[in-house]
Amino acid sequence: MSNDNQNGSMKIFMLGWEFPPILNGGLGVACWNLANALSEKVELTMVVPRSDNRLRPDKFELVGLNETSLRRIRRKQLPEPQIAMKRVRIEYADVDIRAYETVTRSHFREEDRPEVFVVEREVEVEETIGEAVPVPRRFMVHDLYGDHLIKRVVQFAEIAARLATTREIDVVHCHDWMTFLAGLMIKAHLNKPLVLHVHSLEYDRSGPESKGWVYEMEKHALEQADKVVAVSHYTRDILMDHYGIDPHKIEVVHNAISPKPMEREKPPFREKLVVFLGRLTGQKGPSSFIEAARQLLRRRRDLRFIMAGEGDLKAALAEQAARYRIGDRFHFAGFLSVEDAQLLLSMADVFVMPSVSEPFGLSALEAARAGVPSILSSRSGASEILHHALQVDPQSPQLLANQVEWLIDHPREAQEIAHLTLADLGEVSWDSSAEKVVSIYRQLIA
Amino acid sequence: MPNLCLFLYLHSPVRLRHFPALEIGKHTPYVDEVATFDLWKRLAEQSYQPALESMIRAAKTYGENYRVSVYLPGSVFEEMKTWAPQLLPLLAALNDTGAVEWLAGPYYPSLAFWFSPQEFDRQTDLQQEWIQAQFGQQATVLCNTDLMYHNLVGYYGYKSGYEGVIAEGVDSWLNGRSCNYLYSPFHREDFPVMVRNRNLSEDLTHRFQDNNWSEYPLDAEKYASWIAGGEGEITLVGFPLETLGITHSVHSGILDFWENLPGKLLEKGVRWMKASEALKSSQPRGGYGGEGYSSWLSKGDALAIWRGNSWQSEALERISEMEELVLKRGNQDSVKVWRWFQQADHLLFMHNQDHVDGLGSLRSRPFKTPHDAYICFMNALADFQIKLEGN
Repeated sequence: MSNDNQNGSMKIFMLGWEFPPILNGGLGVACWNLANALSEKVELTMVVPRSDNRLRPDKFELVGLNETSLRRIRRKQLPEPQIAMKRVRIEYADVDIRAYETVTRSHFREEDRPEVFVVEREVEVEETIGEAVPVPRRFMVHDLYGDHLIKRVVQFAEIAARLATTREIDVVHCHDWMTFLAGLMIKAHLNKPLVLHVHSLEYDRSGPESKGWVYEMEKHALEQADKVVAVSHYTRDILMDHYGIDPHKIEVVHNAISPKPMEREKPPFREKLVVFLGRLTGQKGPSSFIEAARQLLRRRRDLRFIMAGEGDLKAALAEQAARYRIGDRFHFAGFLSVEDAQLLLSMADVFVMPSVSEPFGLSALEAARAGVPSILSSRSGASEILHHALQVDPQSPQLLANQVEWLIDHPREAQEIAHLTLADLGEVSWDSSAEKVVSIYRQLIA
Repeated sequence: MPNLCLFLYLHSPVRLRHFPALEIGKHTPYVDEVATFDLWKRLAEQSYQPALESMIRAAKTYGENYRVSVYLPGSVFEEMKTWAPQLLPLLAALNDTGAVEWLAGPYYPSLAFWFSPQEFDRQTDLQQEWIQAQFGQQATVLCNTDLMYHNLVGYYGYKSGYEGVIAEGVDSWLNGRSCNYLYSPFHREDFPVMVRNRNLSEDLTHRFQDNNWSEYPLDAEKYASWIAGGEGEITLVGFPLETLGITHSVHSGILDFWENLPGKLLEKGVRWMKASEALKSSQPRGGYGGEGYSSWLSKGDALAIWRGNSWQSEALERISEMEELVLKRGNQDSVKVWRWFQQADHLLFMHNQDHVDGLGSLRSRPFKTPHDAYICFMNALADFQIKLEGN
């Protein structure tokens, strides 16, 4: 590769949260693929809370804090911060915050406010966050998005910052809010350029009205960052409009998917199959899908619906399906392995992604690769790439139902759409995404 | 002194495999055979075997002074043949003593009565034929799944020529009257309904091991004196057989209690009766019934346990809708599978009530959540539907 000499010495300290094979959604998949593609171009260290020795990268260094002895790191003193940070007690925060679930505000409980520390936006400093939370001997995290997430986030930051002092680093690159605090600390104490990569925002998860600790955390960190990478133009607009981030600082780098020829499979039943694949949270619009299914099943019986994924809304959604009396044709598949997700897509006649707000939507690319005609939320990043997929207003189950019906009743057009969408994938690759990221690094260390 | 009718219920909770949506249409198995095997092993070793052996000894020792009435649904017997065949000689030996009356009821512990009287009819006929063939008896007393009772069950019993019906004794329906008398369905005053003495029965099922209970520990002597000292004409004590050995393990002393009870009762002069004898022993004293259904799993309306939420209502409707298709297009095997799906436990596992009264560990939900129970059930049922429509 022509850039090898130029970039070969560039040392990137990357921080992620979930990582294969421990997956919750698209974030871990995107991080894994981007890291692999980048490892051809730069020297990369990836730090995550939890790794699993079933999956070992050969071209970059993967540090899972669960598998790392922290004895030496604990004693490291961080240099005096060069960017002012203030330690404050959080006004409110929910111990039950789940990184990728819609936070229901009513769940805040007075007695559960944890004593965690946040970087505040004022520039006067008295204490650094570095002294706030003691570093444990070993970072134990069983459930990445379980209880006490915020405490984990703060602890992760403490450890990652100390780990950073032992490395030569040119650029720090962080993925989503759980790692932003760590990035900020490294920037503040070690004065390294900081890239924040946005895969999902509190805005997406909890709507435009969302405020609170995570939102504040995101906004503050994004303001401090040297560069912000948005996974779509859709996300870039939110960063500008809802977070007030300087557009000059934002670069759009789309996610991609590795090409792979896929066989179509016949489902073991006569009906046409309509598929939803995503976390069962408000953000993904699962309820619209059930509503659309009800409308369709009222007028025709040649359809079956499968909803794959887990999430906080599962019980409510199963209740909705039962209440609508569509449980004979509307099936819940739970969380699927990569192989099962591919099998499901290979049988699908229509793929639906009615997300209320979708920064990207990797499953849409998977559907396109599997040759399934798709209906995507108009509020999604994936629809910027899959130009030929149908788009729908996620708030309108009726339109969604009509579009599903149109695809079912127009198999030739549906197939044409599937072909064109598959061709749309030619525009993206992890290698070209990595190339864009490298050029961002280059601007920062020039 | 009231006579005693002892009623035992044999039942193995259904074990549905966690049926994945991606297997719908592939016709993979519905029964979780590993779980079913484990269940039967536990049932047989810890409870049925020692309890039945004790009953055979008692029947041989006390002869006519020892009588029991047993509801063993034919489907449970079929499972037993597969998973715990060592129990079959014990049942035969018990039957040979002449101490047992086998009760009529649905062949599957199902909710058939709720959604289709015709299906209930077919299943009770099956149960009759099976008892006749297996034990050489004509079953004359009707018992519904988990003692579910409604005035219509009583009326059904009358119309179908039974000698009487067994029902749960609910305080609000007894309305101050003693449970130790016979009653009748409304508008059928001459037809007897025998209600369970809930208090004395739950002393065994619920309180036997409760060391906060003022009567703890309960021994056979004390219990026999309660029965002998009771008011009224007939005391119906009934419980699931697994109470002996599983609800209360062998270490609780329940099996010793069970062994000693017949002798103590005899000492006190209590007369044992089979259900049909008890139903003929006196006259009904007025109508028994009320809102909804009674059951030994509920203090109020039992509908709430099996049909209290949308998951249960939908599942039940789907089962019911299939009746015509199954009978028209299905072969013998499909009819059996459909009946397997009718079992009350499937719906019970979907309940989201805080508490169901008297559910032992054996019948606790083998799924993480009620909606998981619903999802797996509906997935399996969808597969079955596809199979049927394909035939």
